[in-house]
Amino acid sequence: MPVVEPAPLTVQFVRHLRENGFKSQRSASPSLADEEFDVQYLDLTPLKIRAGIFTPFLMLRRISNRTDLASDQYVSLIDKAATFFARQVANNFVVLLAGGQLNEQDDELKAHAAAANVAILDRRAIEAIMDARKGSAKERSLGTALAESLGRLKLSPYVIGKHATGSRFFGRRTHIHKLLPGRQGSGCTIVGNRRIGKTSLMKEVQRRMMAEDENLLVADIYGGPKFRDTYEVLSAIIKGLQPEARLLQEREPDLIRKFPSHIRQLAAERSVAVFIDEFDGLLIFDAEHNYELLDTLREAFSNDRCHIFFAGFRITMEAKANKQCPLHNFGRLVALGPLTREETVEMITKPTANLGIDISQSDLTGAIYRETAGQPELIQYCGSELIHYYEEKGQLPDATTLLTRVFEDHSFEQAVFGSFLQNSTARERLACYLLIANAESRSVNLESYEFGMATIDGLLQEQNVVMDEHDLYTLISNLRVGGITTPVEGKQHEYRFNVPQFARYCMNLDLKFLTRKALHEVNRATTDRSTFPLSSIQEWAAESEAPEKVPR
Amino acid sequence: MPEIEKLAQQGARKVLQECLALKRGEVVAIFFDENTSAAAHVLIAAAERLGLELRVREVSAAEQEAFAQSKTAELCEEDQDAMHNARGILTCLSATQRGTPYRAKLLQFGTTGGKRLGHMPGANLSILAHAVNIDYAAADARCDNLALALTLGTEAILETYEWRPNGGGVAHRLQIPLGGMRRFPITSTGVVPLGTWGNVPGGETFIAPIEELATGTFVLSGSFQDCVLKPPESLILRFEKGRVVKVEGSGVSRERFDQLLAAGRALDPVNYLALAELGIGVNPGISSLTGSSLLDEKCAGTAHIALGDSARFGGTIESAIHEDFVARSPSLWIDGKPILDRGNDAFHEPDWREDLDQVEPALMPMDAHLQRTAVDVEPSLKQTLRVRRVVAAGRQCTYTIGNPACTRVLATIYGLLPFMPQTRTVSALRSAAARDGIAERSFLAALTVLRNHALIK
Repeated sequence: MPVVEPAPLTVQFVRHLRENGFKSQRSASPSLADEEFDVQYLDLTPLKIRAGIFTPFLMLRRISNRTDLASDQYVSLIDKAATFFARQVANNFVVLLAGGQLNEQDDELKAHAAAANVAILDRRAIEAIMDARKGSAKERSLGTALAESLGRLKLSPYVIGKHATGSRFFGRRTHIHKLLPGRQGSGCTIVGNRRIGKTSLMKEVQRRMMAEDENLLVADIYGGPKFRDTYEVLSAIIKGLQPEARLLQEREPDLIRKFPSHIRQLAAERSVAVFIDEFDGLLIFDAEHNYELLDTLREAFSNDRCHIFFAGFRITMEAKANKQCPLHNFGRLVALGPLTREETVEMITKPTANLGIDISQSDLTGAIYRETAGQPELIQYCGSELIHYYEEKGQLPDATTLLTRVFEDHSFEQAVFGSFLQNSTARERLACYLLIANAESRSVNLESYEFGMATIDGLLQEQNVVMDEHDLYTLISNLRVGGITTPVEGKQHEYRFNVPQFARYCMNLDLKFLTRKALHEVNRATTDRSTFPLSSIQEWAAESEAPEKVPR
Repeated sequence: MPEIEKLAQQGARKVLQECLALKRGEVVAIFFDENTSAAAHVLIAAAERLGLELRVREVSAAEQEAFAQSKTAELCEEDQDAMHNARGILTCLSATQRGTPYRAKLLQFGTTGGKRLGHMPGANLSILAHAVNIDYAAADARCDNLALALTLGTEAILETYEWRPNGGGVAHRLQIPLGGMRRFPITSTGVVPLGTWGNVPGGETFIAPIEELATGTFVLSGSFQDCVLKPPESLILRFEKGRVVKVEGSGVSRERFDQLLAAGRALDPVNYLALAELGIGVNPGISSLTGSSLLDEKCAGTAHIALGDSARFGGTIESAIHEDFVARSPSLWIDGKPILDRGNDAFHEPDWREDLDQVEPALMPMDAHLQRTAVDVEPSLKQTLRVRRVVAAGRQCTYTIGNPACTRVLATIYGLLPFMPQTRTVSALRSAAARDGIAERSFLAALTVLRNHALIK
């Protein structure tokens, strides 16, 4: 009988991972020319660290099961793996599986690999992962091995200022459930204030739809001010769905009329999904054109294979509530608020646990939820700082140390307070300062201090600042759009401050001084921007999206 | 109208106005099923009378069970819509095992931002009439005392009594390590803090002891799930290294106890005997034990321990089971100081609440920078300094520091410190405190107290 040689450990390992929740994926990337490695792409998104859906696992072809390699052989392999990595488009790293065992002295080798974005898992690491219990223990084991090879910062899922999808997307299960096809009808509108995660949610829905249906036709449109009319928007949609469409090549003058039938034709063969972000800007010109765009979209996206998603804020929300607007009963509304306590805890505990950082016995998650009030971007600051601290010190910070570092971070201060100072009107600032002073004088906790139009009006009148209802409404809307305040649950037209630290920054800067300055500005009518159109603050909201930052 | 209905109406009003702090015009969502409809309808009527906006969801026990079997385990849209804009949420659903995933999902969805969720499994008219119809200020004061002692204490001695048929009793002692500022208890007064959930009725303070250290014996003389022990009946649980190693006793209660343990062993053979909780009941509205753990553990004049899971309230034991065991009229000492004397409140304020005249001020350089820590403090008009810590899953521990004179000084000085991340030097703070009329010695003693309670660093 022929002797059947067992599969090499590395092959067994990849099979083991596939059988334990890490799906195998086909890759669109080119294979390695010199055929040094067998490559398997595994979906590491369950780890919730910065690891992609197509993470390449490289297995040596010519090395037998039990052979240990010399250091110089490893260096050569790492260099080849680095070459492989360089050809990857969307990956953060590649995993090199070594059947042998690295020595304790191989730290330099590991550092060389990490610098080349190559994670080495040797025999000891592989066996530890395979021995770990299925589920969270196995995830922790794999994630920790990757973190020890690459460094935790490399794998931190907290990337501030960039939309989060896949392994970096947290929470919102209920919203996702509502938004996926078959549940939302043909249209769906996502609303929420700035930096609450509308774009991330839309991108995540898009990613999941594409994963479920690889033939899906997708158009991803960013609204905003760049479109001037219906023709331009519809052209962009067609271009996204079918770049070579004849309708575009011929610069069809009758494109608007032909659009619905064109979409229906496409949908006869493949499902169609259109995502339009920053929809408020498009609604402004569409309202002036008697809703030509929305009427056309309604006609086009009226069957089960055509899906359209809008994301916007105030104008979109108003349009959804306006019975005269075609958006009113065009699919369902999904309103996005802060993350729940449980989602916040999961967003911090799961990635950190999988990077080998155990925070279960600390007071960190409670403090983070309290200070961020479930705002995804601010949670990212805390998570990022936590990983940074652990990598630097090799131990957990206490809550005071962590929050001190976060609050001292200029970009956090900018996100919470600086952009408010730069972009709000003097009246808006004055109203906020007076509200904070009022809460303090009444000894009401800022987290639970609630106010409405009458309170703001009363406080402003005490300073001899009189505003009519329209201006007050605009002021309140602007504070909400800017993410300074948030509506109180279960109470009509009542608000509270979004993030407690906002008020604390004000207090630390001397509230009386700030109030005097704002009042002085209000009294100098020429510098008061409160009469600017509402769109000005929305432009600010769009512009002030922070640029992507590399995690420290 | 029968007396119980009148009392139940009073209780319903307290649930809405005091436990959930709802005001006219605010939205309350009430979930109930066919077994809790009597209580739910009293609550609904009370909500209408108070001018609250109602979102009512009747979810049958069968539907709750079906939820556990569903693939997605997502709440339906009607449930989500009911809770979406609610200020207060009441889950008056049957206390069945099979409905647990559904109730847990409601808790998860409803514990956020500006909501209060009152968890009322097994709600009935009697609970509304008595267990929730209590003086919440008094319950809060007792929980505050207990939380302070359980926070600062390093070891509790729980003395329980084995009653003899001829009268008298034999005392048994269980030594329970507490951690001393390393573990924090949960105060469940029945008044639900904003953004969290709480049991309604409330009325207990409980803590996860330090694992694997408790030693001694505990007399189970009160009740456990579906079983009430009538004096002189009792079971004796012997603990070593934080685990039950021997059970003594006989009769029906022993049979029921063994059944419970067998079921626990089947679910979690590792941790079903591990000590998970020490709790003290303070609810005077619960005057007798019924075999419903959720109520019995809150009965005033009792203390309880639990076996199984402690992770959900700050411990490290993760388990699928959690069983409470109630003792009647126990005595309790923490660090040798009396807390309960045969079921009666024995908390002696000077044992736990600092008097600034008695505090030896620690040396502190005048140029040292002081900072508030991340520990949350309730605002007050320089009257009291009350700490609020999140323990686990949104549950809180609150306690006041110092005697009345001391706490005023502490609140004043704490109020003079800037918010994080800013600091203030000792000398600048001293000058500010002096302007508020605080003498040098009191100031330094107060800083020592604040530091001891980890409120400044």
